[in-house]
Amino acid sequence: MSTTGQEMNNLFEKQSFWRQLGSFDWVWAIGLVLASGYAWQQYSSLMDVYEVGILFGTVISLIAWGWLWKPVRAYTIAVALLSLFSIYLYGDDLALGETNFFLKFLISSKSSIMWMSALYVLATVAYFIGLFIGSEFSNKTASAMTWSATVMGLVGLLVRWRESYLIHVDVGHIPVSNLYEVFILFSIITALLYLYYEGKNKNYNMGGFVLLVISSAVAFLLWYGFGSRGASEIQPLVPALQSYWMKIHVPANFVGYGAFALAAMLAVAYLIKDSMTKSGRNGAIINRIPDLEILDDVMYKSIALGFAFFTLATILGAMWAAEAWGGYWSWDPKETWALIVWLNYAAWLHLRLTKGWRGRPLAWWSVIGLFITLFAFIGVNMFLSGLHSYGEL
Amino acid sequence: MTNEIKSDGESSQENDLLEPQVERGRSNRKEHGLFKVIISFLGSMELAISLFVIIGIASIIGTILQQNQVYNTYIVKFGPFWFEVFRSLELFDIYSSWWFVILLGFLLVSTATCIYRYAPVIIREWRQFRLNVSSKSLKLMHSTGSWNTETTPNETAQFIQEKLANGGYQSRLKNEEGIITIAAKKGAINRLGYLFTHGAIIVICLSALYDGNFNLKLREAAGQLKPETRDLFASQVPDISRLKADENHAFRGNANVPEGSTTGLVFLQMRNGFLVQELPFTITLNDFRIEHYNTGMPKSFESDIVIEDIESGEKISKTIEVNHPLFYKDFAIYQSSFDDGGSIMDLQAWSLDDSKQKVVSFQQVVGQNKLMETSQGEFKLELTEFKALNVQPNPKAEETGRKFKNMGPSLTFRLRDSSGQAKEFINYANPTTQEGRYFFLSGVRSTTTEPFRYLFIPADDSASLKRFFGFRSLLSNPEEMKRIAEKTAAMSLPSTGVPDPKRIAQMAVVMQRLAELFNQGGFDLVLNDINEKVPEDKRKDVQDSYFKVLQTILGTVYLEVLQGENIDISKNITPAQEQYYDDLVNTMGVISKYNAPFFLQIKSFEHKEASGFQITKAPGKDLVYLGCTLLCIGIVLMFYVANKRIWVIISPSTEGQGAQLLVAGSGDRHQKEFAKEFQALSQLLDKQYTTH
Ligand code: HEM
Repeated sequence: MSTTGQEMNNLFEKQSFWRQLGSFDWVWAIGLVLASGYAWQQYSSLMDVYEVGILFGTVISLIAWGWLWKPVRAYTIAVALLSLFSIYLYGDDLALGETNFFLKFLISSKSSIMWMSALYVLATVAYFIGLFIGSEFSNKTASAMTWSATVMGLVGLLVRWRESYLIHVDVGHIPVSNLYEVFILFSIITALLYLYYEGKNKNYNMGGFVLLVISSAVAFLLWYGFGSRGASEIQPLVPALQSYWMKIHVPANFVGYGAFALAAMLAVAYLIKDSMTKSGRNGAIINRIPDLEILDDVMYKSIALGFAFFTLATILGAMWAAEAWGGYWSWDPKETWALIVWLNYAAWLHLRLTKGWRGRPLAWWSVIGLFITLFAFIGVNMFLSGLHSYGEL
Repeated sequence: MTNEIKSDGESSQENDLLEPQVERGRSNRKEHGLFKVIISFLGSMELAISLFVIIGIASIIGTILQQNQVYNTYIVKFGPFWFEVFRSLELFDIYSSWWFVILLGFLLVSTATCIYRYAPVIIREWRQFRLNVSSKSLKLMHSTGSWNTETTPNETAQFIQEKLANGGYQSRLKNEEGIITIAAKKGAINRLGYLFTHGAIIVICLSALYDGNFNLKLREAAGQLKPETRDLFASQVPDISRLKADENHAFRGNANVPEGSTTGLVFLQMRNGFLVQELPFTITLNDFRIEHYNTGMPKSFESDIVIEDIESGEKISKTIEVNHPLFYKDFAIYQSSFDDGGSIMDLQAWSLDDSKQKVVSFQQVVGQNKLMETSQGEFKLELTEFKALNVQPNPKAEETGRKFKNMGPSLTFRLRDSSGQAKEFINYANPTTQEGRYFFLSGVRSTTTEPFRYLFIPADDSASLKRFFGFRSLLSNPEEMKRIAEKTAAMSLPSTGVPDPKRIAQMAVVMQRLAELFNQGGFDLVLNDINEKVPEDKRKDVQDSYFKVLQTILGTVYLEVLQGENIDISKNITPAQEQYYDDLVNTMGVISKYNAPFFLQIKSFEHKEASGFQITKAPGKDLVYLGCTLLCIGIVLMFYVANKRIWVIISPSTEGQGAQLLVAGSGDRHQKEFAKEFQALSQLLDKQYTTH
């Protein structure tokens, strides 16, 4: 029996999981372990049990994540190097952000976010060019720009985290506490979800659609953060937000929102392709959009993922509320809207899984779902008042 | 048992192959007639989806229409007719209205019915391997293939079972008259996900219902309880609105405790009224603290409390803060708000009346009212809020490097005249600096929507209001002013020649009159006077000379005031004293617009705060969390554990010792993934055997 590489990976052959890993996978794991060991050795005296747990938990999940989705490795390394470089340049002096060349133009939090914004918008354009003229080059460029934007966005958030501590130890907090910050988070998460599907399906043509939501988020972000409201200024946390729960509740929520947004944009692509083919106008552009079946499948997977995270986030929110407000459920507008969003997607999933619905009706429903989600996400803060009124417009 | 696997011709996708068929689930139980109809209605997907939508819409209404406001607000907003309609629909408290709870109940029953119908099928699919398959049905599957082997059926079966085990499949084997059937499954636990998620919904809804105030509503309907709607002290609330400590298994109420006080009661809000709930322990607030960031934003709210169990006398001291409640027995005590707990203010009212100058000192507790006799009639003084700290953005951050400054303690109060009209004031206790000089600050407005307009009264050398009001008092005293005017007139007339007593007297009259006008209405009033009496072409000259005269007499008055303070004015007065004079005159010029009968000065205070606690008892909480855990596990099982099945039928070859191999499988909801897996298996079999 000859053993070629392919057979090695045959699921049904006896094999060790470890042997499937390449050398970069090992470098990745060892590097992470060393880095966390160093961090632990340096800072363990400052950490409590939870923080040690978080440190090692993060390392283990990062290793696993990098093994399962290879591009994560390069992504993490890029983010880590840039953020560390920025933090190193800052030292203890926040004012350097205005004077140091690198900080001022590249990797202070604000500049990173600006780069992120610009790159996402450019990527959107490039993806559409790729779609319209079928240029592989344009597509690849768009993809590279999306990756870079996503790097810059996360760098921006991480550096902002550090900057908040440079303002004052008391002010320091994880940057997921106002609409400006969570919009950055939303953009990054949506982009990562998209990039995962892009890599998996080897199809770039959905990029423009998905990046359209991200670009809208960026537009909002710039208006909200740098307009007259100045929400990009770091503010200290009000007592209600000073909780560990915030750190997990908010990001979990945004995986949900990101996934729902992705699903909705795939639904838009689906609807366009479907009606164009039905009316017999399927030119090259329409053909480049992935098969309806694939769109439908990815849309389902995306909603399933979103639903899982959204459920988790809502539960975490309830647990937080039980600690901060004296009850796990208060029918506060934000909570109630979370329930509405959740019921909406529960209905969606039931129709698909038990009634066997597919295609157009569910695609329309996803698009409507995005508006419901959007209302829960910003509308509530804009129009309704309640306990959650932190990120008011 | 018939567990025919049939390909579903209707569905283009093969997904439905392993789906629990409603028919099957139903046929498993003996259901008859009406029961059957009810069950199929309650367990129908149509009902479930409709409930999702209806509950969703009801919830939306509840978020748009602000819940649990004071009824008056609604009456003003919607008018009495619609108010009555909305109230009878319980729209002001949707989430605990009868109909909403009934909707949730339906969801509960519907989900339970679903479980009742599907559970047997689900469990069967999870446990069973389904060895009863026919070659025919395998060939109809999406992923299928057949091979010829040279090995015996037994050897082949052994080989295949081994490979399936490598791939993570569990398998069972059946040998019937030489024909071997292997059924293998992987991830069948996926099916349990259904039970977990739907069971979770039931657990969560039931425990949340148990924690809600449903029992109180029932007792209210039975006439055993009546929410109190009047504004009463807790001790005055009648028994029909009171609950004993052991009378209520779950509640969520509020208590406001001033520093140094103790309470054993909480208030439960019920629509537009409240119930008084007794606690089995008392809470004493020893101290309440607010810390601030240097931006003035609050950083923490903390209360030092002592809990004393009424029965055992056991005491527990703890500091609670937002996000860090105290859990005591079944109760949780949260820091939820704060308020003034009756700070005691030492106040001094400086009359602003220009005929009667007097100063009154008194003590008043924040939150209480006092009637004040003034020359403008009787006023009610209502102290509404005291703040010990006022941190505000510093307009001069550039120069000082400090972004924020503390304006010190402030008192907000209202002055209500006999007709019920009120003005709101905010007075700061400490003088604040403006360009290096100190002023007492008081803001005034007639409605709460407009911004405060501020009056700046200069503080004198001893940081007091004495000099300012001394000046005013002198200015308001006609005899003294007469004397001063005559003195000033005599001095200001040209020293050449013999002073003319008549002119001096005339001058003195003008001076006194101008000073009086100024005292009543500032420079504006003086100007008005001139405009009224002097023809237009001469006004300019008259203005100039009048202002000169006015300045002279005001200056003299000021010097007298200084003298009264035992300041030696024979030398030149200091620039600071000169500056004070300018500020004084400016303030005097606008004080008439302040339009209040007196200026209230905060002499000292004893700050007392009250902490707002939320006290809850939620025995269902842990069950809710259990339900949440089940829900998460269930969702992961359903979405991320792929339920895959492979069947193999090995029949002996008609010639030789070899066998024929038929392999087929399905991946339920994960067909694509399964197709890859099946391909890998086929490759492996290709190497071993020849394709059929
Ligand atoms: C608030 C209540 C409910 C929630 C949150 C909920 C949630 C879910 C979810 C997330 C799934 C996903 C499924 C999957 O991947 O298979 C599902 C499936 C399903 N639900 Fe519900 N559900 C609820 C109520 C109901 C009710 C009332 C019924 C009965 C009519 C029902 C019947 C089903 C059925 C038959 C499935 C498919 C199970 C399967 O074949 O795997 N659900 N449900």
